[in-house]
Amino acid sequence: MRQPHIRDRGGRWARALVCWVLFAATVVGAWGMLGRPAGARQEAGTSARAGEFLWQRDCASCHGVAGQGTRWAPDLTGQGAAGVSLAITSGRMPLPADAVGRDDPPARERQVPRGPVVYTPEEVDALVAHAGRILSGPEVPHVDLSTADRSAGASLFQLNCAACHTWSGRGGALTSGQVAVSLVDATPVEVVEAMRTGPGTMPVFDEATLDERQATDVTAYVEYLDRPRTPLGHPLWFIGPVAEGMVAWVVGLVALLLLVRWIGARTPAPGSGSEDHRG
Amino acid sequence: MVVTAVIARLASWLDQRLGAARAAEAGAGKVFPEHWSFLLGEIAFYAFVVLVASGTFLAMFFDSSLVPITYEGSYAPLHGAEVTPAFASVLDISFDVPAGLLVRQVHHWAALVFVAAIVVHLLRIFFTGAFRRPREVNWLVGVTLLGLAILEGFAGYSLPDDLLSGTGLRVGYSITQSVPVVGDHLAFLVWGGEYPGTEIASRLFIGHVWILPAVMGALIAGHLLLVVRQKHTQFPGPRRTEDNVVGERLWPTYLAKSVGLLFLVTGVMVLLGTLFQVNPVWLYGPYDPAAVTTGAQPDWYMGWLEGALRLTPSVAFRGFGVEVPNVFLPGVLLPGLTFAGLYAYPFVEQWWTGAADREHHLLQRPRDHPHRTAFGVAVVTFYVSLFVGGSNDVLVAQTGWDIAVVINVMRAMVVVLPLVAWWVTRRLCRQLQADDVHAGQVERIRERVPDA
Amino acid sequence: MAESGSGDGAAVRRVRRTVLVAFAGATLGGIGSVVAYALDLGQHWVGLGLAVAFLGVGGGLVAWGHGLMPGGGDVEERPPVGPPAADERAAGASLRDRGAMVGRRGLLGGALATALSATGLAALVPTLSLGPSPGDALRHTAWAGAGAQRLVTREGRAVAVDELQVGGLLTVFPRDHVGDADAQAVLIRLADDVTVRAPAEVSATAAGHVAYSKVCTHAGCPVGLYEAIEQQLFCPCHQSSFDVVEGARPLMGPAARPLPQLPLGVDDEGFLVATGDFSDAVGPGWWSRP
Repeated sequence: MRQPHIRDRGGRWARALVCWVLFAATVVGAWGMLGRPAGARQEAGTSARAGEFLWQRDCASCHGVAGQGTRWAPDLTGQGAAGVSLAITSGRMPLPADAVGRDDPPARERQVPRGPVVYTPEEVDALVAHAGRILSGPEVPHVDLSTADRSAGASLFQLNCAACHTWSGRGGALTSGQVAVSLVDATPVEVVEAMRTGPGTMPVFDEATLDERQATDVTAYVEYLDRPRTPLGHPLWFIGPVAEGMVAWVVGLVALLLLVRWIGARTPAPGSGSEDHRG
Repeated sequence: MVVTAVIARLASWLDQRLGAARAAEAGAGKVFPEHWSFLLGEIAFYAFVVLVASGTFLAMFFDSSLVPITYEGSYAPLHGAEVTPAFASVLDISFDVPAGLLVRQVHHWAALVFVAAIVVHLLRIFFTGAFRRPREVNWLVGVTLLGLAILEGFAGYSLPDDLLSGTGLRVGYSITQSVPVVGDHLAFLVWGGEYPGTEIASRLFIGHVWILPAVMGALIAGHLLLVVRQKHTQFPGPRRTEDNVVGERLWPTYLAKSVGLLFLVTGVMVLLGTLFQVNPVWLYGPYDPAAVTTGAQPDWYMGWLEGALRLTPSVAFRGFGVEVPNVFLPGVLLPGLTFAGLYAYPFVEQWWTGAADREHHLLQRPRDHPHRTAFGVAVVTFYVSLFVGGSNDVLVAQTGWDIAVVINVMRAMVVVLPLVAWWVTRRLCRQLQADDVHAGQVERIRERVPDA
Repeated sequence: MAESGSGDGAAVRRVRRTVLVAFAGATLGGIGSVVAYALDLGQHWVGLGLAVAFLGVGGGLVAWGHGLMPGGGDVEERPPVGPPAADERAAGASLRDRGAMVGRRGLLGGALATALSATGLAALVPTLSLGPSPGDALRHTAWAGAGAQRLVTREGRAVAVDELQVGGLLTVFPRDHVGDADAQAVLIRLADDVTVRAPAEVSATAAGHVAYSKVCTHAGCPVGLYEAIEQQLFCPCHQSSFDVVEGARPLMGPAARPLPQLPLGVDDEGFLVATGDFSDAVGPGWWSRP
């Protein structure tokens, strides 16, 4: 889904708290509304009703009943079930109520960071199914990494992903105060959903760009980058030459300066006169 | 002891054939001043020794060919990928040669520290006026060594044919191409044709393991010979005059400490190579001219050039039948002026200040020369600001600030901060001088430094 | 070794102990490193052992020099490096005298200088073999000359008109030059209601697609980053950004020239083709760029 962008990361904890409150309210609300214990088996019909209910309650006020968008939030047409699934399984949606009304910058242009998921798995399924019925766009992909070709994925990652997300998948700078997110926390399904729907300012990588097999290969490499091989020494947060330069100066050269200060320090040797020494 | 007797016999055998004893005696009696700042150049020298030793090991395994092959080494995530032997051999060093990655990381850290030590050494020489007559020649040799060290580092960084080194070479090609008039011909000459070609890695390899180290080795020898010929400078102090050197003799005390420093420098490099990963080319991936990564920086000693490339405003002159490409300003003119300024400084200062044209062997305190000190700090601030500009995308990725704003703020910083630094430093120097007067030290200083 | 002052007692004994401990540590470190290498215990242990060995030897030597060897304060005389002012003329007089005996340097000297120049030039000219002359190689890419060429992906697959979604992009090459460094282009599908504006050529777009050279006009990095909402191409190397709708006009950063546009068309089978070469020489400038 075209996600609003939230710039400040400082409010992350505050929003997390709000999300949790919302989560609690959702559970309690769903309990009361459906009139039976949450987590109990639901028939297909009730699941559809639950999905529609959740959509009306949590999504429609900003994105519209049909996901057509409003002045606060983007049009979700073309995002399909995959876009909605990505937004709610990564905890980016729904936005806390207090985050929606703030106008600077407008909610629809803000980048939302990952957050805790506010729905139960059953609610996610119901909501995603409802989104699939009302929105055109890609289905939630089925991702099986067991037969993926990681080295083909590495090459595709370099060509298509590294320009924004960096070689390590830790995220990078974009224009207009936005960042390409870190891929470390993204699940394989979320990675493919993001490729297919192009959240935020990310381009769409559809079947023409990366077919299903290639998408799976890339995803396998992205998963590898969560904990890549670092055979010797601290990886310096995968920042690269800038961090290395800092270490060379702050650790290497400073250690050597301390050592030469020690060598240059006069300790009166037996039998020699001492002398004032200054620089 | 038997060992001592053997050494003594060997020494006399050599002396009978070379007449070495008298020379050795004179050499062993050479006096070294004891201040720690005289050891900064030695750090650089010993880092060079570590580089030659570790580099020799690496050269045994490196293959500079750029003709594509299939990677079949033990790094699984790139198994079956199309790579060049240059990249594959670096992966072999990292994953298949026992202790190979250790030596590679030691080599890379030593390179980073080598240039850092040269810079700090140069700053000590600059701020204490040690470049003045009769040492201008050695200043020129030292500045040349700095330039060669940067080139040598860039050549080494460019060898593994990974995504970052390839990106660096692409930028290097563009800069070469922007050289006035002959740029396009020069780039074709160096690369053996249009970018990327298949020649550049083997050419860089010859330069990196043979030509540049040989020239640097010769210059380092000359640098040290000049120190022996001209003897060390020294800070003013009791009994220290323009006509003597006060300190420790080479044999045995200074030798023990200096050899000790060689081992300490090596130890610190090995420790860095063990504790910190550097240049993980297996994660950067093989170079592909169509691929690029954000967070692409050169090693730190090229960071000021990278920053200049990023912060130069969007201008390119076109007229009179020529085009002056944008990268000419930061890529050719800036380094040209930088090194021209470094080479010229001792002569310019002499001419500008009209200082007595005589031999100087006693060093100056930075505070006693506020103009030089303030100028030096301003210049350092300028290059540090450029370096920060060269890592603007890393900064933005970590903070989420707006890159357009960051670029403009940094452009302003590059201009404003040096001026601020100049003003603050000059005030600070004057303040410190005033404190000296207060403490009644000025008389003592005058005694020590005739021209203070 | 001049271990003076063996009678100094406690201080000397302490230094001796320090030095011994350092050398013992170095020995153990060295042995540990060899063992770690031989038994393949991991490079961490090889490195740590080696570092301890070097630091131990170094530290021990310095402590030895500090505590047990003759201290400083020795004075060495320093005669002036240059000749005394009075002798400046006299210095090197013998050289000048013998030089004078060479005599009549004017003509012969000039001839020698000329001969050396010619010889030096002749010796250096073979270095020109290192690379060909650029000719017009920098002005054209592999898109030129062969008529309409299909755009293919890096896998060599041709791109049909309706394949790419709105907001998607592809890196494309001429069919016979996949991976070519200067022919690489980015193909972008704009939304149907977006039309390009000058300096972009409207006639060079096809079915809502527009293509630009992927080689940055600043320093030659691939302009690999596309922001779909902003419709900007962004170069992650030096942060130049280009407006895709307005002919890749530079918006921010150091680049001063737009990315050259690739003229697009559609062939009979519905695949995208390039109808000619880029609108301008690709990549960074040079002094004689047309």
